[in-house]
Amino acid sequence: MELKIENLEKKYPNGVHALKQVNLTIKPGMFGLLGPNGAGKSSLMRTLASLQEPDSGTAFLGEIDILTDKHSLRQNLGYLPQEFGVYPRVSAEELLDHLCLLKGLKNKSERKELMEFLLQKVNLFEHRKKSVASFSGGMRQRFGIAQCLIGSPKLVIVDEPTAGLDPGERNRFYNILSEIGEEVIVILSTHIVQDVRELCSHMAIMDKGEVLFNGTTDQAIELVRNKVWEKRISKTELTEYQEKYQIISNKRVAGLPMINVFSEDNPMNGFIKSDENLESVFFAKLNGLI
Amino acid sequence: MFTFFKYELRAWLRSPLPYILLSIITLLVIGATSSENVSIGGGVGSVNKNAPSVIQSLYGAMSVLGLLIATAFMNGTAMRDFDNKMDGLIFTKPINKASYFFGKFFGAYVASLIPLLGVTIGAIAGPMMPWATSDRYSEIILSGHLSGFLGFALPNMLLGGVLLYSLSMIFRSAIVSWIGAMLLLVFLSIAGGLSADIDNQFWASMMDPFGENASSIVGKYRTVEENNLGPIPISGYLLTNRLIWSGVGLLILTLTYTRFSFTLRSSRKSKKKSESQVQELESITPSITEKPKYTIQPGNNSWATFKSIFSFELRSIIRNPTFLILIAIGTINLLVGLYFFSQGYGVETYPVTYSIIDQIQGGFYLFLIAIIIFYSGVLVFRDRDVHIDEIKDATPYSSGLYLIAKVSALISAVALILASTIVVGICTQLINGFYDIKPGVYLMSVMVLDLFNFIHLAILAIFFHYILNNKYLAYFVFVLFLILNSFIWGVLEINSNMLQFGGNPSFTYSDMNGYGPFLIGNFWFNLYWTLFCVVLLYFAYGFYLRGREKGRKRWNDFSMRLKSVRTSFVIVILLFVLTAAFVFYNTQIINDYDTRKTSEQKQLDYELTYKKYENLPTISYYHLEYDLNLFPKDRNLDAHILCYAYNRSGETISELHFTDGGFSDSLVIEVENGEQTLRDRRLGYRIFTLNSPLQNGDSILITVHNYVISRGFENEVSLTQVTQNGSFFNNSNLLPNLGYQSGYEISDKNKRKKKELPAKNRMHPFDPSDTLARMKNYIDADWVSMKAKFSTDLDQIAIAPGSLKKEYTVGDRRFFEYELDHKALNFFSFMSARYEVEREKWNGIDIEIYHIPEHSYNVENMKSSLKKSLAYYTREFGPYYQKQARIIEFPRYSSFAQAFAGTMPYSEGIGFIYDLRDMEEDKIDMAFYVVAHEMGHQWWAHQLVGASMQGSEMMSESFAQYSALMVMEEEYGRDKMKKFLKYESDRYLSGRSSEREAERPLMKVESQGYIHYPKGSLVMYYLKEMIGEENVNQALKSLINQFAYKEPPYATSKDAVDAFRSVTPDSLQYIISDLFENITLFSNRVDSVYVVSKGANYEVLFTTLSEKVQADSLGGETAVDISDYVDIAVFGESDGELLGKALIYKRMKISQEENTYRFTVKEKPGAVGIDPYNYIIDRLPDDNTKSVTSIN
Repeated sequence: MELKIENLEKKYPNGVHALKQVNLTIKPGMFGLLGPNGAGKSSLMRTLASLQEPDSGTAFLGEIDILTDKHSLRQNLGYLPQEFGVYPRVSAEELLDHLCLLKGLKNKSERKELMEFLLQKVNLFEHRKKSVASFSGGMRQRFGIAQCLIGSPKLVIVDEPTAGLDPGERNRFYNILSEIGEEVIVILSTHIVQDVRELCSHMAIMDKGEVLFNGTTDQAIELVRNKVWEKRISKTELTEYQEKYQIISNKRVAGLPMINVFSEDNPMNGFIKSDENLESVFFAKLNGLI
Repeated sequence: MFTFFKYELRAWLRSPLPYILLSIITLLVIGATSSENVSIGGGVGSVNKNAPSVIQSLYGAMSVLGLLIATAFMNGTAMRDFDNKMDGLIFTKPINKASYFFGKFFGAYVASLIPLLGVTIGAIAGPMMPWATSDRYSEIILSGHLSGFLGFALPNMLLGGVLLYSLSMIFRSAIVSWIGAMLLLVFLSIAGGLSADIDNQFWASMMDPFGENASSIVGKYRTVEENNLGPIPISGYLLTNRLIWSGVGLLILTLTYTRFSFTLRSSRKSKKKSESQVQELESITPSITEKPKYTIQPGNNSWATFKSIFSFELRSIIRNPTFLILIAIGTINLLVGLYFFSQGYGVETYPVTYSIIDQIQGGFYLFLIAIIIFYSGVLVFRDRDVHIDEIKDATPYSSGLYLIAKVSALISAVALILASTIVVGICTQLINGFYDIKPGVYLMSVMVLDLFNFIHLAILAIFFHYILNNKYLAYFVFVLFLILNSFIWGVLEINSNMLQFGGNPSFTYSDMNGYGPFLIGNFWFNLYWTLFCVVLLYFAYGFYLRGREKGRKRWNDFSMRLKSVRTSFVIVILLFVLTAAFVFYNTQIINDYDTRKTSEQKQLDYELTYKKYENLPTISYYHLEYDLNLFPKDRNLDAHILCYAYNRSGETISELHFTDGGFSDSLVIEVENGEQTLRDRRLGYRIFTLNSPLQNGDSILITVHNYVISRGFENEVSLTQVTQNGSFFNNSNLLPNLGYQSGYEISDKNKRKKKELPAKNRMHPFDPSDTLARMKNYIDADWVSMKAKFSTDLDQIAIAPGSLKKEYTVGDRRFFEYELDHKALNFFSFMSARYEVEREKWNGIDIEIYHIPEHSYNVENMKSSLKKSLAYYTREFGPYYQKQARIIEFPRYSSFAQAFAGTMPYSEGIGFIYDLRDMEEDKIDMAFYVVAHEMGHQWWAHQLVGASMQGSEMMSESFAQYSALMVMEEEYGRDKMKKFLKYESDRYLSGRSSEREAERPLMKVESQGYIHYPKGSLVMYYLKEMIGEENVNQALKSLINQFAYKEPPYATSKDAVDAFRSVTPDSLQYIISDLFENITLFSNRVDSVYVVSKGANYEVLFTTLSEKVQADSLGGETAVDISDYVDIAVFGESDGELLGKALIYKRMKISQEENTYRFTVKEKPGAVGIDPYNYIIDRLPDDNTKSVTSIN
C-alpha cells in the first residue's frame, strides 16, 4: 500500500496558489512534511483527508481514489487536524466513544474496550472522566492521536501536532507517535525540524505550494554535507556578511549573531565547519541554495 | 469620558447596523400608518392613522422591540474589546475607569436610539404613500413624536440598554445578557396579567418596565377626539412608572460601575471550577493491554448508530445551561399566565385542560420558537464552532444519518419542553383542586398537533442553515421568513393553508365535542407539510456541510448526494404530490371558500345589483312547521320547513325576493303558485313571480328544503353548527331571508368610502313617527306559532323551543316533537347532543338544564337563578307565557349565551366552568348573572320588542341588564353590586375610546355593545337609585302591558323614556335627559379633608369638586351647569379596601363646582366621599373618596 499523489493543483478564490503540481509517493512508515507556515502543507493534508478538493491532479491510497471515493478513504484514515476544539462539558471518554461510533464501531462494549485501550495508550486513561476542554495542550494532542488511531487506519495524517507544546509534552507525544505500526503510512506535517529528525525516515520539504525536496532524511543531509560553515560575528558586521556570503541562517548564541553560510568550499575568514543537520537543509532549500 | 463616548458613537455610526434597523422600523411604521390592513399601535375607527396618541404608542411598541436592538448594540459595545482580544491591550493602559465605562455606554445608547427615529420618519412618510387613504390623517402634531420619544424611547432604551450592558460587562457572555432581556419581558407579562383585574391597576402600571400597561391604563378612557389631538399625558401612574424604571436603569448602571474592573476575561474564566485545567502527573506508565478486537461497519445506518448519535446530540442541547434558563424563563411566564387566570368581572374559571393549553400556547410558544431558532443554528454549526469538524468529517460516518439524528435531537428537545409544560399545567390543575384532567387532550393538542408545527419550523430552520451556510444570515432569513409568512398571504389574498408555510386549519377543542370536525383536516395538512419538510430535508442533505468546500463545489456535492438517494427522493416527492393533490381536491374542489377580497366583492355586487329592491313589500310569517333530521356523526342535516305567511303590507305583492341565509349550499325554495324567475347563485338572490298577486290579507305557503352535507375536509372548518356532539343552529341558518338584506352590505365606513359607496347608517335613524320602519322589529322576526319534528341519533337529545309533545324511536333514530305553547318571535334555536338533564318545576313551569355530565359544577346556581328570575320578573313585569325555561349547553365555538323563546343556549366556555367555589365578598356569581340576563330577555325582546331603528336594543339589552341586576341585588345584597358596576363603568368608558363611528346617547344606541350593556346597567341602576325601584318597575310593567306580543307598529325607545318620565318627580326630570337623551359625564372628586377631634365627637370638613359635561359623538366635551342631586358621605374606619360603615350618607343638591361640607360624627371617620359608590358615570372614578390621614 502506498500513497501516490500526482500533479495536485489548488488555487483559492483569494488568489493564493496553495498547491503547485505536487507529486509525492509515500510508502508505509513515518513521513515528514516540512515547510514554513503557509507553505501549503495544511492544504495538502486536508486534500488527503477528503476535506477539500483540488482543482486538478490525482491521489490514490493503494487502490482507493482519494478524490472520488471519499467514503473508502475515510474508513482507512486517521486525521489530526492542525487545530481542533472539543465540545464543552463532554468528557474524554464520551467524546472518544462518539468518535468511535462515527468511525463505524457499532457495538457498544467493543467501543468501550477500544476507547479504554486507546486512552491507556496515550496515557489519558486516568483523565477519561474529565472534560477534554480542560486538558492541557499536550494532553489534548494525545487525545487527538488517540482518536486518529480508531479503527486501524492505513493512513494517518497529523498536521502540525507539536506546535505550542513544551519540550516535555513534545517528547511524550513523539513516544506515542513512534509506536504506531510500521505498515501504516504516517504523514507528519510540521514546520519544526526537530519533529522530522526524531521521527521520520522519509521526508519532503514544501514551500509556496511546491515540493522542494523529497527523499530520505539521509539523502537530505547528504545535500549539505561539508557545505555548511559557521562563524560568530558582531552585530555591525552582519550586513557585510550578508552581502558576501550565502547565509543559511542567522541565529544568536549568547546574544551574539552566529551565522551559517552555504559554501562548496571552506570560505576561510574564520569560518569553521558546522554540523550538518536537517535544519540547514531546510533553510538552504527555502533560500534556494541547493 | 468624551473620548470613549465619541469613539463608540463613531464606531456605531460607521457600521451598517443602525441604518439597517432604522430602515426596518421606518418600513414597519410606514406600513402601519399607510395601510388599512396593518395596525400596530391602535388607530382604529375614527382615530387618525397618524394621531399623536398613535405615534406615541408606536414609540412604545417599537421600544419594546428596541430590546432586541439594545441587545445588538450593548453586547457589541460591551464585548468588542474582549472579542477582538483587545482587553489585554486596553486594560493595561492608564485609562480612567469611569470614562471608559460610561463613555462606551452612552456612545452605544445614543447610537441605539437612532433606529427608533424610524417611527417619526415612517409616520411622516406613511401618509405620503400613494396607496394611503387620505381622510384619516391630520397634519404632523409634534407633541405625539416628542412624548413618544421622550416618554418611551429614551427611558425604555435606557433600561434595556443598561441591563444588557451591565450583564455583558459583568458576565462577558452574550447569552446571559440575552436572558436578561427575556426577564424584562417576563415583567411585562406579569403586568399584563395583573391588569386583567381592575383592582390591580396600580401594580399593573408599576410592574411594567416599558410603561405600556401604565399608558393604556392612564389612556383607556380617552375619547377619539382626545386621541386625535394629543398624546396620552405623561402624568399620574405613567409618570411614576417612567421615573421608577429610569431610576432602576440608572441604579443598575451605577452598581455595575462599582463592580466593574479591568480584569481580563480569561483570568475570570480560570476561576470557574469546571473549566479549570487538569493537572497531569508526570509518572504515568502506560499499562500494557492487548489491542482489543472489534468490528467496523463504516457509515452504517443502523438504528443503534442513530440512537447513539441522537442521544449525544440531544444531551449536548439539554446540558447547555442556556437551554435550562430558557425553559426556566418560559415556565415563569407560563406560571404568571396560569396565576392570573380570570375571565372578566374578576371571575375565575375552572382550569379545564383546554384553557391550560391555551395558556401554554400563549405563554410559552414564543420561547419555544426562540429555542428552535437559536438551537437550529447551534446544532448545525456546533462542530465548526468548536473546531472539531475536521476530525469528524474525516471519519466515515454517514452524512444522512447524522443529519436525521440532529433534526431528531432538536425535535426531541422541543418535545421534552412541551412535555414539561404539560407537567406544569397538570400541577396547576391539581393545586387549584381541579381533578378532571384530560391527558388525552394534552397529548393530542400539545404533543401531536402543536409538536408537528414545531417540527416543521425546526426542519425549515435547519434547511436555511444548510442552504445559506452562514449562521447569522440564516437566523435573519428564517426570522424574516416567519414574519413574512405570517401576514403576506393575507395581504396577497391567498388564504390557502397549502401555501402559508406550516398552515393548518385552526382548531378548537371543546369539552362537549372533543376535536369534533377539526381533526381530519389537521391530519391531512400535517401530513402535507411533513412531507414537504422531508423534501426540504433532502435538500438540506444535498447541501450538508462536510469538509471545507464552498461555492460551486457544494453544487457538485449536492447533485452527487441526491443521485445517491434518488429512489427514496422520488418516492417522497411522489407521496408529497399525491397528498397535495388530495388536500387540494378536498379544500379547493369539493369545498370552497371566499377570500376576504372575493367576499367583499360579492357584498359590493349584491348592494349594487339588488339594493333597488330594498323597500319592496313582502310577506310575514305566522306559522312554521319544521321537520329536521340531524345526522351528527356525518355532520349532515336535512331540513324541510313549511312556512305559512300572509300579506299584511297593505299592498299587493306580485314578486317574492329571497336572499340566501346561513346554510345555502343546497337550499331549495318552493313558492305556492309561484315561479322562480331569477336565481343568482353567486350572490344568493332569488326572485319568484307569483302567478296571481297576493292581496293584502291573503296567505301563502312557502316550502323550504335545506340539505347540509359535509364532504371531506376544508381549508378552515366553516361548519361548526352541525356537529358530532353539540349541534346548535337557528332558523336563520335554515331559512332564506325575505327580500334584500341591508345587513349584507359592506359596513366599515372607510371601506365604503374606498369603494365609493354612499355612507351607511349602522341602524335606521331614530324616528318614532316613521311608521314604515316601525312595521319591522330590529330582530326582523314576526310573532309566529311553531311546531318542530326533530330527529337525531339514538344517544342524543334534540331540543327545539316549546313543549315536548312526543318522543319515540324508529330504528336507530330518536324523534322529538315540540310545539310552542304561546306565539313567539320567529327566532328559534335547534340543538342536539348527549345531554344530562337537570329538571325541576317552578309554579307549573319546567326548569331544565341540559349539560354534559362533566360540567355540572354550576347547575344549581343556574337553576336557582332561573327560579329567582322568574319570581322577580313575573312579580314585577308581568306573566311568563311559555311553559318551560331551558338552559342548554353548546360547544365553545362561540362564547355567548342567547335567549330564544323559553330556550337559552349557553356556551360551555363561560358559565358552565366558572369557578364559584370561593366566593369572596366582592366576587360576582357570573353564572347566576348571565342566566338572569337571558331570562330577562324573555320579557325584554321576547315580549316587548323594539322597532327596527336606533334605540331598540336599549329595551332588550339594557333592560335585561337591569333585570339581572335587580335579581342579583335581591339575592346577594346591594354591596355585591359595587364591583359589578365598577366593571360596567370600566367597560363603558374604555369602549368609548374604540368607537369606530359615533357614540350615541343610550336611547339612540345602534348595535354598540359598550353602550347597551354596561352603560345600560349604569344608567338603569342610577335611575333606580334616584327614583326608586318600584317606580322603575312600574314604568317597565306599563311598557309590557302596552307592547307585549303586539303586532306592529313596534315600540321605540321614546315609549320607554316617556314611561320613565311619567314616574319621575319634577325635581328629577333632568336626569332622564342626562341619562337617556344625552351623553353626560361627571367628574366628582374630594379635594381635601380635615378632621378635628372635639371631645367625643369629630368634626369633618371637606371640599369636593364637581364637573358635568355633555359629550358629542366623537367625545368632544362641553361643560354644562350643575344642578344635580349627588350623594355625600362620611365613612367610619375600615380594615380592608372596602369603605367602612356610612356615618353620614346624604343626597344633596349641588349647583356649583366647588362645595364644602361640614359634619359632626360620633365615631372616628376613615374616609369621605362624593358619589362614593360611583352611581354616576365618572371619568375618574377612583378619586371620589379620600381617606382621612390625620386628625387634629
